[in-house]
Amino acid sequence: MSSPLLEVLDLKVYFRVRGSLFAKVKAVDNVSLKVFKGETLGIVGESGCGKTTLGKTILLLNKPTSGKILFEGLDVVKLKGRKLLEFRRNAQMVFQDPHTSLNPRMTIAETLLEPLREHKVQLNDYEEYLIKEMESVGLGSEHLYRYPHELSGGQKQRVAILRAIILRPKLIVLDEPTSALDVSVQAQILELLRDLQRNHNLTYIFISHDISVVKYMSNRIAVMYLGKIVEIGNSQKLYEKPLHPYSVMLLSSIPIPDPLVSRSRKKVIPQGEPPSPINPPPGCRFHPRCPYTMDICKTKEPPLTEVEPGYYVACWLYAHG
Amino acid sequence: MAESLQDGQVLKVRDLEVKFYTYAGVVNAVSRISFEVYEGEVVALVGETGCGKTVTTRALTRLIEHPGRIENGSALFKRRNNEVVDLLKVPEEVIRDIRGNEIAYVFQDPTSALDPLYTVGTHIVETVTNHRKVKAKEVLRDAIRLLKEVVIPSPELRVKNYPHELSGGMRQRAVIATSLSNSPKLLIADEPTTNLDVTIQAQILELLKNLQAKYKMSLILITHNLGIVAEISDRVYIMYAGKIVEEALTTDLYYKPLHPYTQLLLRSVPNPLKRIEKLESIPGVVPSLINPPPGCRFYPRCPYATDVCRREEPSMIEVEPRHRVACWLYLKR
Repeated sequence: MSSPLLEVLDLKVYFRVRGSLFAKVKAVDNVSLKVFKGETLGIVGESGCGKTTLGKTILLLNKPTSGKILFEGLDVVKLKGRKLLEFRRNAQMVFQDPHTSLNPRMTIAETLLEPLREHKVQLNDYEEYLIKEMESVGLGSEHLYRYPHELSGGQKQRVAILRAIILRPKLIVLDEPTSALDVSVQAQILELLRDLQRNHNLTYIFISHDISVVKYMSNRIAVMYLGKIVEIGNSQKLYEKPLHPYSVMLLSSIPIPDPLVSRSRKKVIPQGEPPSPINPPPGCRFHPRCPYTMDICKTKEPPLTEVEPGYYVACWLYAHG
Repeated sequence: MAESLQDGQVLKVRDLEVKFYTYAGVVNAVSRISFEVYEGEVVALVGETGCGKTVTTRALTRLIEHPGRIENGSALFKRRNNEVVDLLKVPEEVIRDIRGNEIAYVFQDPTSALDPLYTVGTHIVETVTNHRKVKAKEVLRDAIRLLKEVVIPSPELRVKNYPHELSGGMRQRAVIATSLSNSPKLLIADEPTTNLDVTIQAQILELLKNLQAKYKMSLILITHNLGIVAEISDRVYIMYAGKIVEEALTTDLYYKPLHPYTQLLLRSVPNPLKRIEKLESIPGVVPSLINPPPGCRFYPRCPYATDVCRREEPSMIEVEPRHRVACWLYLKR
C-alpha cells in the first residue's frame, strides 16, 4: 500500500430542500479519505448517514458541492471529454437491488455489451467473449439471451457485477450488493467478489449497513454518522476496540450469531435516533445521543485526529483540543 | 378430538398444509409441518425467503387469502379461558375474536401495517373496542400508557400523530403498542426489524424481550437473521422449502446443528467477532415449490446426499432430547 488510488479531499455534497430557499441537506459534509490500490474500504453507517451519496459522488453520479476527488492523482471533478470517459471506464458501480439496476427490456447479452460498445472495445467474437466472462462469475451460457426476469436474485446480481467488471476497471463502488439477497446466496456473492478482486486486482469501496458483512470484506473501515466520518482505520482494530462512542454503540447493536456470546457480552443499547441531516446538532453531531458528552462537544466540532498511524477518530475524548 | 394440549402448551400445530392455486401451478407453500409453542416461550421460525414461514403463521388465524388454501392439519390453541380450540376449524366469528386479541401480529413493514388516515391512538382504540365493550375515551388513556411502555417519548402528543409523522422505528413501536393493547397470549412478530437500522433493531429487540417477559406472552419470531435468533429465542425451528427440517433449543442448534442445511446456513453468516478465512456458501438455489423435488427437499444442494435422499422423504426423529431433525443421516434404515 503505497500511493492511494483514490483520494477524497474535503468533499461536500449538499442537496437543496424543495420548498425552502435556504435549507440544505448536508448529505456529505467535509469528508476526506484515501483508498489504496487492491484494498477494500468498507463504509458503514445507518440509513441517511450519507454513505450511498458519498459512493455515488466518488463516481461523479452526483455533483459535489465542493471538494476534490483525486483518482490516480487527477481531480476527476474537472475532467472532460476523453479523460472523463477514461475515468468512467476505470471506476464502476454495483447497486443494491439487481431487480431495478438491470434494464428489464434488455437481454443479459445486451446489458453486457453496452459498456463494451460505449467504450469502443474491439473484439473478434463478442459472443464467445461474453460466454467466457459469464462463466467467470458462475453463470451458464444459457442465460445469455434471457431477460432479467428469468433469473433469480443471485443470478441478477452476478450479471450486475459482471457488467461492472467487464471493462476491467480499477475501482468498484459496491453499494449494499447483498442486502436484497438471502443469506445462503449472500455468501456466494461475497465469495465471488473476493475471488474477482484477487484475480483482477480490483479496489473496492464496500458500502453496507450490515456491519458483519463489511467486517468480513474490508481491510479498512470508515464509520459515518450524519454526513461525517467519525472513525476510520484497520477493520480488525476497529472491531476489537472501537474508539468513537458511536462506533461502540453501532458494534454492540449487531446481533452475534452465537447464543452464549451474544447473551453474555456487555451491551450498550443505543439511545434515541439519528437526528435530521437538515439541521444537524451543533458541535459534535453525535452529542445528543452520546453517553460521554462534555461541554466542548456541544459547541465545537471535533477534528478527525490520527490516534495511531493510519487510524483516525473524530471525538473530543481523543483529541487534544 | 384425538389430540390435546400438553401441560404448558399454548399452541400445537400438526400436519399443517397450505397450497396456493396459481396460474403457474399449485405452490406447496407449507407441507405438513408440526410445531408447538409453550407458555412464556420465545420460538424462532427461521428460513430463507419463500420457505413458508410467514404463510405458516398467517394460517394460524386463517389469514390466507385467495388463491391460497389451508388443505390440512390442526392448530390447537389454549384460549384465555383455558378452552382448547382448533384454530383451523372454529367458526369465523371465533377466529375473528381471537385474531388481534389473543393472538396478535407485528408485521415486517410498519408503514403498511398502519393506516395513513388514522392516528396512532385510533389504531389502538379500534383494536380494543373491536374485542371488548369499553368506552373509546378510556382506551385512549390506556393507549398513552401503552405508548409509554414501548418507549415512545412524549406519548400524550404522539397518540395524536399520524403514521407519516413518525420515524420508522417509532412506527414499529406504535405497531407493537397496538398489538399489545389486548394483552395477547401469543404474539407473532414477522421480521419485525428487517426494515430498520441496526441501532433501532437493537432497541426494538430489547423492547420485545422485555415486554414478552412482562406480559408473560409466548412469542413466535419469524426471521432470517441468525444473529437475532441467537440473541433472543429459547427454541428454534429451521424451515426449508415449506418444511421444518430441524428443531432444537437455541444453544443446541448453534453448537450442535444436525441438519446439513442448518450447518451450512450457520457457516454462511459472518460472525464479526471471529476471524473467518472463507465463508461457506450453499451451492444452488431454493427449489421451486410448484414441483418440489421428491424425497428430501434439500438433497439437490446437500453435500451428503445419497440415493435414499432422492427417493424418500425423511421423517422427523428425535436424535437427542428436544432436538429433532428430518435427515437420512440420522435415520436408521
